[in-house]
Amino acid sequence: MIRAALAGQPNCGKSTIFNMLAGVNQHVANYPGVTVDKKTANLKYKGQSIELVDLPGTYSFSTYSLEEKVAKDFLIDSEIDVIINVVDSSCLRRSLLLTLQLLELGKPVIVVLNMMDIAEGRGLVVSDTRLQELINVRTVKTVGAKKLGKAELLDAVIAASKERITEPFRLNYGELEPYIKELGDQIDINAEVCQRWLAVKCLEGDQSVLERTGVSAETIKDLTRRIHAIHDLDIDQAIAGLRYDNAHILYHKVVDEKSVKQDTFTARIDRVLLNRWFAFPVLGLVIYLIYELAIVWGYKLTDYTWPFLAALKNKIISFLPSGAFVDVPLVTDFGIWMTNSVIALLNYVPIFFILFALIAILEDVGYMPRMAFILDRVFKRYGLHGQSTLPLVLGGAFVGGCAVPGIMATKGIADERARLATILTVPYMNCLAKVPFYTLLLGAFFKPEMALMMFFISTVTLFIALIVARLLTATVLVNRETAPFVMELPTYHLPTFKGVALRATQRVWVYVKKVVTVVMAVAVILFVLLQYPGVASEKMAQFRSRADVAMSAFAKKAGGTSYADAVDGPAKLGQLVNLYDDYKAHRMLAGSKEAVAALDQEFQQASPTLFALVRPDNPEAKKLNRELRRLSKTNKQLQMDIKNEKITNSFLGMIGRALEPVSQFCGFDWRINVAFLSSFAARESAVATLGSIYEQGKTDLTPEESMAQDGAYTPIHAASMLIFMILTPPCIATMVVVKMQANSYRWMLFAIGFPISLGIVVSALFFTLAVNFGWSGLELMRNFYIVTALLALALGIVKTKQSGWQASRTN
Amino acid sequence: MNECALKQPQQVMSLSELSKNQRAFIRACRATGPLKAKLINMGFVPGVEVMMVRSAPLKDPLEITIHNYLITLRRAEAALIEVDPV
Repeated sequence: MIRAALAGQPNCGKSTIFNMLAGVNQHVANYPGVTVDKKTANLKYKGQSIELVDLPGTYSFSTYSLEEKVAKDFLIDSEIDVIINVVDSSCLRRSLLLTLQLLELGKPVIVVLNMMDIAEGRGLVVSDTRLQELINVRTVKTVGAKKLGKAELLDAVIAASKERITEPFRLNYGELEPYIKELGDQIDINAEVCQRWLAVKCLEGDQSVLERTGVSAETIKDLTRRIHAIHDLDIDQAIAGLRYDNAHILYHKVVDEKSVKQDTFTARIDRVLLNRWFAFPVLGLVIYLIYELAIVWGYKLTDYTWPFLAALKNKIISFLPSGAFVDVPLVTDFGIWMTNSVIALLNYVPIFFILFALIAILEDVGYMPRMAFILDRVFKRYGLHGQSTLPLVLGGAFVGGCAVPGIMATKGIADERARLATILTVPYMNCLAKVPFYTLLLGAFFKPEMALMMFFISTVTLFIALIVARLLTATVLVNRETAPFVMELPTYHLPTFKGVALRATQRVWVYVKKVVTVVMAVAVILFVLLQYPGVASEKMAQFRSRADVAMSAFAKKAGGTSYADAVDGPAKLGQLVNLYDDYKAHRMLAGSKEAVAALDQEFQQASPTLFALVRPDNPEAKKLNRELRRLSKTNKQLQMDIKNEKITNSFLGMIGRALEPVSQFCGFDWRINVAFLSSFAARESAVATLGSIYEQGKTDLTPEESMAQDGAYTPIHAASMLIFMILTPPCIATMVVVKMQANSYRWMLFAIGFPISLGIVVSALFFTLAVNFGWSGLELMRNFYIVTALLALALGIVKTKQSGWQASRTN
Repeated sequence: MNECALKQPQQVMSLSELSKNQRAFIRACRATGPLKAKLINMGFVPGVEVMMVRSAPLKDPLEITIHNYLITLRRAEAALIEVDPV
């Protein structure tokens, strides 16, 4: 097998080449221990199997950036047969810098001259034959987007894999040569790469090479001092300067600059998009479009995908043993619970797919770094980064988003401190699933002021995010590494459909795999907490007698009819009620007349006698059907009451009650605590739990009405709940992604603990103030809004003492 | 930095002080640590020609041309790069 590594600078079109070679058989994972993407693919060509590894894009192999370290470590440690170096032909001078360093490794190198069309458009004539002669490499010309040169490239890979390099490429380091030799003599390890390269890296003080070669940092420090004293040379700049000079010479021998056009296409677009007056309107439009397409349209799309999921759910549930009235088997309860938990998350897949596709398009086009360019100054004040814009928007900077794609979009932020701060603040945005909760409370307590309250809720989140970011970066994150804001603004490219679709699918798949597995695990825990210790036996006996009364009432009516035998005894009655409910559930999903007819046919065949009662066609059956409807209603009511009794008695209910001494300061009783606790599984369940707790015995009222009439709560309770919900921690899915992106369980726990504490403190504070000063619910919310907004502005005005970047710290 | 240094006759110009579309050659880079490494990686080595393209709508960061491509960096970082205007 041939193992080929794909290396190149950022924006050189490496991904396009990788997609061209690998097609759909790509595997995306993370490099061990870090969150940098590791893409691999296995392919067959002319009877040879080739393993392709796509390295992170790097300008060079310096010590500081994570991507560069990952790429370098991989090249040092792995047995690689061929290095495929993708270069941007329109930017060859800089690209050759990496090429020279790759050559020094002592492995066969293939230089892929990509984007030849752009180079030609700029009046640059690149001579590939000159390049082959001068540095002894194979070259392939490709235009990645148009699939040119795939066969040539694979042929070159096979040819290059057969050769062994006896004398590696050498760059003359001039005055530094004796020191390189001195270091080289000290290195005695069996490395995959050329020894001289290791010596040069040691001289540069490269941490990972020093560790591998056993050369001590002291030796290097000593050497650096000596060199500085004798030659007055700064090693970093001297080595970089030499490499640049060589790349420069090579460039002029290889490239013929016919007429370098200054006014390129990109410059013309930038003149509008980065213009002082147009930049913000255009940025606003782009953000609005992403929001509209992904969140609004995506949500509409789920209306079409939901029936499929619902059908799947019905299918799964139909395999479970059925139960009715008091006796529902545990396995059925469990099965329904698990199915509901997973399906609720799968429902978001269309939204994610659109979002990820749009992000991929923005990345490919080259607008992302420009967003950072426009907004960096605002975000910098709060310890964030220009690149925090998109994650915050996706998280729901407007009325609704989702923290999961938001946090996943933080991957590209170069500044570690700003990246963590962004990860930890995105969950404060208004996620879509919080919206039903808001509407429930607003509908119950703030009907006339609904619009104003919604405005407070949807805009206060951004202020909170900025305050939290500033707090975190000034405290727990203060020692985190920050990176200089030095970014390339790439030339604009048209994205390819295949590349975008591939990336979106891959990211959705990663989400589904990671999130669904963890959500299932947590759903099991929640199920146990809600199910046990269960309903007391005397309570259960009461439920049982209610069921018996209802059943005997039905039996009395049925007695003497021609159906009496078919519905004789609780088992048969249970079957009948389930058939009735099952039919109703399917009937809801059947849209057309034909579908209904087919459904009838199916049920008719499955249970001919009982179905006559479900869909009656004679007066006798019709009469019983009315009774059946009543029986089904009693059954549902019983199930609901049992469920509530279970929740009241459950461990979660106990926890809810145990929290009352603390939560009473916020105005929350145990029922609200349980609702918040269950909302960790998924935000939607807060509404479901609240709804089911309040629905007791008043089924004809909406949850809003029953909450308002309950009397236990006032609008200030509701406002306090709203504040807590605004600040509450992420749902499980978000926590999983926080773990994935921050790569640490500690940050995940912090991401849970900090918002809860903050939520309790802030809502307790405002609730107490409201009680003491007699504020209304609206006044409470308004005051909270004013305080938050002023605090955010004040923090923005106070200048940070930190410079834009900070050196990394080591012990 | 002390006051006297600023008042000396041959003032050193920094990259952040270039006006729009002004060209210059890099003289030296006063940055250290990761910033220095990053700048060197992106091609900020002595003798290279740079051009100021524009500043962001909020005045910071800056956009410049170097080695035929576009780079954005903050004013604070650009201030550490000494240049000789053309």
